[in-house]
Amino acid sequence: MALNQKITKKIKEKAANDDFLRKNMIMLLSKVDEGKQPKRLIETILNEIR
Amino acid sequence: MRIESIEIQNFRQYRSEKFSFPQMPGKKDIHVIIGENGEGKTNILNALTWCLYGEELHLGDKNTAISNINSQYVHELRNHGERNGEAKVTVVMSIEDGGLITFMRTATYSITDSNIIETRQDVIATSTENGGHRIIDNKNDYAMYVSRYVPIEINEYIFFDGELMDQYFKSDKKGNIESGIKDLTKASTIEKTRNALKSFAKNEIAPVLRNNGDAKVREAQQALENAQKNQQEQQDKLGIIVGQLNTAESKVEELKGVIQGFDTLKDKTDRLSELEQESDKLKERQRKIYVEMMEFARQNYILFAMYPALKEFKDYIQNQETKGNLPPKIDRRLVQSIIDSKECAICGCKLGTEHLQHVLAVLHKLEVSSVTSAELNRASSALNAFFDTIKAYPRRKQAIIEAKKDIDIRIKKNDEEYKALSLELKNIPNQEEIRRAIIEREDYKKQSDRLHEKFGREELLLEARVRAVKKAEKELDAAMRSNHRMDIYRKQLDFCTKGIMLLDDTLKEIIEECRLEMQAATFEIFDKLVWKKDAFTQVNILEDYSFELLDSYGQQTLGACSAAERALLALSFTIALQQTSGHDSLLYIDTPLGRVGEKNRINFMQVLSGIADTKQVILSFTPTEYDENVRGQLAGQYSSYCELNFNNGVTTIKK
Repeated sequence: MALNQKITKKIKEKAANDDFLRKNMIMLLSKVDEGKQPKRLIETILNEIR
Repeated sequence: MRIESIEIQNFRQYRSEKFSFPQMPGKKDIHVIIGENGEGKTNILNALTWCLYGEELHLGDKNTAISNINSQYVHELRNHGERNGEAKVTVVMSIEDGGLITFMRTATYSITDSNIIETRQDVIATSTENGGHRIIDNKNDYAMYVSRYVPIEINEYIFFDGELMDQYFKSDKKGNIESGIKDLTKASTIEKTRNALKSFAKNEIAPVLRNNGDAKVREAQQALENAQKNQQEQQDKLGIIVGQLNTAESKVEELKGVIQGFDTLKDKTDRLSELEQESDKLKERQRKIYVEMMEFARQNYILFAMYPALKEFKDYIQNQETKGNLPPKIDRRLVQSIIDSKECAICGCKLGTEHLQHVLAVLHKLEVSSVTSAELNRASSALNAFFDTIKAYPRRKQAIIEAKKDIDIRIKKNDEEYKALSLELKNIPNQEEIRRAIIEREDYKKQSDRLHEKFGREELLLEARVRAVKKAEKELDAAMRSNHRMDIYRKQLDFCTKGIMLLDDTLKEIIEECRLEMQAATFEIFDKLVWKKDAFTQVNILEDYSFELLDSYGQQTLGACSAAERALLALSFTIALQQTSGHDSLLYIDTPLGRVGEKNRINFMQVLSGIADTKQVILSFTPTEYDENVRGQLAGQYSSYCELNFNNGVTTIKK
């Protein structure tokens, strides 16, 4: 099952002005939905913040 | 998604059987399995869930269930001196793109003369998806893979136990409905991600800020943590109240269904026992009045018997008095006291010798009057009292008659009301249950009112604590901004905070929209399927995930409708859930007619047959369930049919 399209649409709308947040939140949710552990994923995202 | 086959080896009462569920051309995707109770119908479901999740989700009692390896097989192994055995279940599923997935779970057992110990479990999933071939033999990946197609959280919406279907909407099942909606709409993914962000901010970033060299940042972080702790405590408190409130409110609703139409039953039964007590009191009062009446009659009989003689006696005295044969009615003691005090008893003037002589003369006259005359005088007073009593007779008689009449009328009225009420109550079924429900509902209503008040107070406090957290966050942000070394943490924290807010907002909206969509879809499906047309007008899924099924008068009727209708609502909700979420799954129902009365069986089977137009439906019946009507209904429609045969502790498929 793919991540509910409604969720993606809502995230896109709500974070329309913040590319970094929008892109990473959609990625994070998709990976968590596939069963990946979120902690590692968050670490990777935050490491991009310098 | 369909189940193509389930192969069971040495599991429970199965030695080696394969159930195949092919869809035959021109037939519906319905598959029928027939077996007596205890012959292994439910264990096909247990084999299925064990293979997928490693758990037998349909066991009667997990604590007392024996090991799942087949007993006959174990016996044979022991006889042959073998020490190891295997139970294995293989499930083949087909998915939307035409791919096939094979899930296989094997348990290995060490077998001694007295024990059977599971030593290991192996899983393997092989798939041909999108033209590729994939093998998974790692337990975590296997679980993740299963979760992609048949998540354990929603297994209840795929693999049904028909016996429990009408229990779906009990208040203690609300959690299942909530998790069903959250899982299928992926709201649980948002929740999981948001919680991970929260926990990362708390456990990874906060300690760095708390222990860094900048005192301002340290203090601000400490203040924020305190504020967050206060907020969390208040939220937990509020959560408990909301939980209690939801329970109380859904109990009120649930009991409403039991009570429906009999709201005044408690008042009536109370009135009945009041009437019983009143009747006892009235009858006691009636008995007393009767005794009083008898006493009155007896007394007056004597008085009337004495009347002629006493009348004659009184006339004689009067005659003597008229003739002046009786002494004047003067109190001798009074006259003596006047003589002794030498004072007038009326004006108090001193009496002279002459006056005293007159008084002495009166006394003398009294002393010289005959004793008989004096006695007659006294008798006259007693006779007057007697005649007064006789005079009062009609009034007293009337009062007693009135009292008796009044009590008779009251007893009659009481009896009439009692008879009418007890006749009415006799016609109400399950009186005791309804009465208990009314009392219980009153208690829950009071509890709910109290909790509403409490919620209001605590919510205000929570708002204040949320404001305190926001303020502390700003202060921390300001402290971090003044130290450029903190920039990276500030940005990371900012990302987490924004992410949490974004996911919180999305979660709320998704859940609310899905709830409303589910509500509409459930009713649409239910309305289409239900055999009593126009009897129901709306389905409401409330915010706490409790259900309302409204009748044509807008009244909640879920508790009062039949088990078959509740089971149908559960089915409608499941199909709506699958439709809304886009999760196209099969339905496997064990004993689908277990709770459906004979009258509704054909209707229910028509519904299941209709559902099979769009999805696979596997049904396992007892022979009693699969009666002539059901057989007739499914004749020529199903794609596969098999009967179970149980012999010497082993179930096989009848050839």
